Amino acid sequence: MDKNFYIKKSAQVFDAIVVGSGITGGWAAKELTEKGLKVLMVERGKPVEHRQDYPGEGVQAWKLPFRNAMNYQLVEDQYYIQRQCYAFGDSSKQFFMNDRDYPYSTPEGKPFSWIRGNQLGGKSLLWARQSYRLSDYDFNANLADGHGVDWPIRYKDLEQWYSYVERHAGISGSKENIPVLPDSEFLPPFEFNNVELALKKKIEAKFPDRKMIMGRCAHLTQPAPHHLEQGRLQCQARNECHKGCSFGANFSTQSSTLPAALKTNNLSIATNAIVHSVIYDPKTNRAKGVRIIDSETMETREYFGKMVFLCASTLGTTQIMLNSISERFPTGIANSSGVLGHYLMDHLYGSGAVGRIDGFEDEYYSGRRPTAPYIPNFRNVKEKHPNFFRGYSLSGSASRENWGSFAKKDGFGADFKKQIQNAGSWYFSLHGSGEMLPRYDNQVSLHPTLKDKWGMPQLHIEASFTENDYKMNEDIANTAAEILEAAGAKDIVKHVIRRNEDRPFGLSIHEMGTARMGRDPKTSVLNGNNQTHDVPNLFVTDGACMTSNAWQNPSLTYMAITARACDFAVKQLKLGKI
Amino acid sequence: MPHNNKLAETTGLEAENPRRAALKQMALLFGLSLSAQSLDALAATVKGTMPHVTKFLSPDQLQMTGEIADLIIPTTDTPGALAVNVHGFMDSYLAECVSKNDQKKFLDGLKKINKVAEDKFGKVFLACSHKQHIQLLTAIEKYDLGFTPEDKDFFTQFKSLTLFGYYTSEVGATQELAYLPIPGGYKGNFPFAKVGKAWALN
Repeated sequence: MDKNFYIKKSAQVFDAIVVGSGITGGWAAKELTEKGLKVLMVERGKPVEHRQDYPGEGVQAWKLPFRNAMNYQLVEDQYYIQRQCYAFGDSSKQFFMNDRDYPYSTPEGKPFSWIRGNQLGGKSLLWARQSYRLSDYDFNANLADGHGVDWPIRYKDLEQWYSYVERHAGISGSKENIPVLPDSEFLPPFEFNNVELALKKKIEAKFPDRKMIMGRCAHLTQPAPHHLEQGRLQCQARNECHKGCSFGANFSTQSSTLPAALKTNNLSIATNAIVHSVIYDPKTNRAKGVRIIDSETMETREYFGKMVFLCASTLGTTQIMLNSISERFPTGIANSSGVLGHYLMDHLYGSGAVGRIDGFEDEYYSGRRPTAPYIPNFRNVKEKHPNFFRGYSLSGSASRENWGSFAKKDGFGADFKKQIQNAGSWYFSLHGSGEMLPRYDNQVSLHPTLKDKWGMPQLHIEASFTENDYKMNEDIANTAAEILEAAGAKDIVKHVIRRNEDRPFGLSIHEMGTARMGRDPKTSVLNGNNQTHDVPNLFVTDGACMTSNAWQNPSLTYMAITARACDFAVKQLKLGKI
Repeated sequence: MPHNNKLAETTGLEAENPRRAALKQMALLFGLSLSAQSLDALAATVKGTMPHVTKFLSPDQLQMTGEIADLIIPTTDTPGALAVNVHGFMDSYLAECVSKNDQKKFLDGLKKINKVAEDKFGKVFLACSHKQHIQLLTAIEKYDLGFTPEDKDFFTQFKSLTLFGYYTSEVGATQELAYLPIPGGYKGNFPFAKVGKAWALN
C-alpha cells in the first residue's frame, strides 16, 4: 500500500481534523472522508499496519521467553497500571500505554485504573468487542429518576445509525425482541454449548423476566460480501483478538474503518503527535486546529482544519479540552457550563457468582468462543428496586476446568496428570455489568503542577463508588447465585465488590461522561449532535459525550453517535454554518 | 552423591545409558511398558534441555525443583515435567518474573521441605526415596509432619508454576493435551470423546 498518507508537517487547512484513531476516531475518519472531506487524523502513538504489526499473533507460548509472562521489574516500572487489564501480556504489551511515560494522579484511597492504548487503532485493537444497543429505557433513565441531566436524544434518533454502523462493522447475535435491548442488524450468533442450553432452559422457566441470549459481539461469524471485499474473513474462534487479528475477523480501526477511509484518498495521518490543545480563534469563535507535540522530537507543530472532532478517548479528549485555555475559556475550551471533567462514570464489574455443574462429562466444545451467554437487565424495568437505581446485565459461560484450575486442587502424580488430561468439571459463572449514576463529584482535572515528560499537565482523577453502587453489587452477587441455584449449580461462591480498593474505578475500561451531552448549555458541554454548545465547529463523539452510562457495553453506541454527528457536521459545513 | 540423581543424568553429567535406564524405571513405576523406540525418543527429548547455568536457583535447588515438578507431572505415556525441562523454565521464571519477596518464599518453601525430610527421614529431600517423596508431598497437602497452611500455600504456588510450565510447553500442549491454534469456529455441540482429551488453550 502507498504510505504517502502519513504526514509530519503541513500548512494545509483540512476540512476536518480528527483527534484519535480508536473506535470513534476511525469512524469519524471513515464518515468524513467518504462524504468528500479532506481529513487529517492525529494519533498520539505509533503507526500500526494491519497484519504486519501484530508481533504476538499466533506465537506459541513455548516460543515466548516467559510464556506470555513478563519481566517483573519492567512491569513494576512501566506497566504498573496496564498489567491489571485482562488482555495485557507479553504478546499484547505493544498496544498498551507506558505508565511511566504517561503518569496521572489519584487521591489516597481512591485508586483509578486508566487503561490506555497508544497506537494507531487505539483501543479498537484491545476492546472486548461486546456490542449492544441502548434503548429508550436508557435514554429516559436520567429524566425518570432525576440523576443527571436528560439525554438530548432518544432511541429513534440513533436507530438508523446503529443499523448503519452494524452492517459495516459486522455484529453477531440473535434476534430476541427484548424491549430493554433492541435487536441489531445481525450476523449469525455464536453457538451455546450443550450445558449452557440445558441451563438456559431451566433459568428461563424459573424466571420469566430473565432471558439468556448469546452475547452480541463485533465478530464476523459469517462475513457478508462487503466484509470480504474489505479483506475481512470469518472468525476462527481463537479468542486471542488483543494480539491482533490478521483475519480481520473482529472490528478494529485497522480491519474496518481505516481501509474504508484510505480508499477515498481523502485521509492524511499524523502519528506520534500528542495533541496539546485545540487552537481557538476568539474573533470567529471557532476551533482553528490543534497544537501538537511530536513525541519523538519534542517539537511543537500546528495543524489546521475547518472543524475538529475530538475522539481521543473519554479522558484523553477531556485532558485536551481542559488544557485548551483562552481568555474566553479560562477553564478549558467549550466549558462555559463548568461541567467539563465532571460526571465521570464506569461500569460496575467484578461482582457475581460461580458454581459447579455436575454431570455432562461426555460433553465438550471446540474452539474458543470470543463471547459468552448474556442476561440483559431486568432490574428497575417494570418496578423500582427498593435498594438502588438503574440496572445491570449478567454474563458468563459454562466451561470445563483446564490445567489452570488444578493447581488449587490436592493431588499430584500420574492420576493427577490424567485428571487434567480428561478435563475437569463444568463450571458456570455469572458476573454483572452494572450501571452507575452520573455524579458531579466523580471528576478529572488538570494537576496544578505535575506534567509529563512532554510537558502536558497530568490528569488528576478523583472518583469513587457510592452506596448505590455497593447495593447494586450486593444484588448482582445474590441474584447471580439465585440463578445458578435454579440452574442446579453446586458449591456456589459469590463475589461482591465492597470497597474502592477491591476493584479500582476505571478498570472496566468504560470510563465516560466527562463532556456530556445535554439540552441546556448551562449544564452540559455538547448538544444532541455532539457539537459543543460553545464552539460550533468543535465536536466530541467518544465516551466523554455520554449523559448516562446505561448497563450495556458502550462502544457500539459510540460508533453510531459518531456516524450521526459526522452526518450532521458535514451538512452544517456545506450550509456554511460552521 | 548417593541419592537417586535423575537430574544429573539429564544434564549430561553421566553416560546416556543411565538416563535411558532411569526413564525405564520411571515408566515401570507407573506400570507403563514403553518400547525401546519411545524410550530413545524420550531420552532424546531430555537430552540437551537442561540448562547448564542456572539463573536463580542453585544447582541443588534446581535439582530439587525438578524432582518435585516431576512428582507432580511424571512421565507416563507422554514425557513428564523433568523431561520437558519445567524446572529450567521455573528457574528462569523465578529469576525474571516474580518479586524478591516471592523469590524468598520459594526458597523458604524448599528449605522447609528439606527440614521436614531431615526430621522425619534423617536426610535431605533429594536423598529420600520415591516413596518418601510421595509421603512428604502428601503431608504438605494435609498439613501433616509439621507442615503448616503457609507451606501448603507454597506448594500450591509451586504446583501452579509447574502446571504453567508444563502445559504451555510444546510437549505439554501438543502431546499431553489437544492443541488447536486455529479452531476455525466455535462448536457448542461437541462430544468429549471426539477429542478425547482437554484442549491446551481454553
